[in-house]
Amino acid sequence: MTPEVRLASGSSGSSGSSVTLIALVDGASQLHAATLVHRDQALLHISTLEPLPLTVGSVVGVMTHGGETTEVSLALVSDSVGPAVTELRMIGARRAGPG
Amino acid sequence: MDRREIYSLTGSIVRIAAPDDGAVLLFSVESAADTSAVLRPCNRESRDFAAGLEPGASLQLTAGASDGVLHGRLRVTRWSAGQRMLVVDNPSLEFTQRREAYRVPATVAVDVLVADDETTDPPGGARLVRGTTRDLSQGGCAIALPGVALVRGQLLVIVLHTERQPILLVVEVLGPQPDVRHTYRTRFHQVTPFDQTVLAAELRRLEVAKVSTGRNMVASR
Repeated sequence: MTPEVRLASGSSGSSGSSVTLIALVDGASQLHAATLVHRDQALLHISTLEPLPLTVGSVVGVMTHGGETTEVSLALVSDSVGPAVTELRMIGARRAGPG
Repeated sequence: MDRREIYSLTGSIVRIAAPDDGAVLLFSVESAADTSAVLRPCNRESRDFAAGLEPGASLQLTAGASDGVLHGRLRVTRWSAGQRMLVVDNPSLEFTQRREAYRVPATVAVDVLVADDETTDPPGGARLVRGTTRDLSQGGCAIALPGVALVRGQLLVIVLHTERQPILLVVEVLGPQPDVRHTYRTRFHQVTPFDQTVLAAELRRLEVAKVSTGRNMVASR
């Protein structure tokens, strides 16, 4: 069974946690492994071995692995902080409802 | 909890499944009053299934309603071989409104990102698992996903492959579909405004295709 996966906006995901990104490039899904460098409320800085081939404004899915729990969210690529460090801005959840 | 009675389904087709068994069989509700309800098998398979049931056996009933689904646990009273009817008890059924948006039956490919500590090295990786939707609405979808166990409340990133383009969504698992194996009901938790319009276009396309197919079938008769 997969570990518990919940979103906890603005919490958890300490520096050094592993992160998986899923992005859509030319209609195909791409997975990227990354490391969490910094987290501040809705902003994430993640480090990758190579610069991500994603333009600012791209929507990505983020899975942050932190021990027993895993967080998931959508995020926008908002900036390039360094050569291989990307800033992501988390997207808020839609209103709760029956769906 | 909203509850409804079996008699409200008189004349309707219901789906019956034995717990822990994936087989789903069709019956129609013949009558329901007081402590008994009578179900008529819709086909030979259902009849054979009913004839083999022991008194006291437990069954899961599911029936669709325009605004949700009814489900409940029945207990077999007896099989009437002469009348070919299954007599069961008459409990109240639980009504659940699963989605407020109109849903369309649809088989759309879905990639689900699942955490995977077992096959990734170092641990802390993830993999994509391919599934398909069973139905789709502006608010959520049911996903058939063999080989993966999901838990209620779990959040997942998925890629929904609409005809126009794939879109990224975060969905919340509401629980397993009551009578369909390896299928989970989900509610959209995060979706961008643009992807919401892509989703709306996909739903319209599916609905138009359904109506068109129905017209062709009528015309070919």
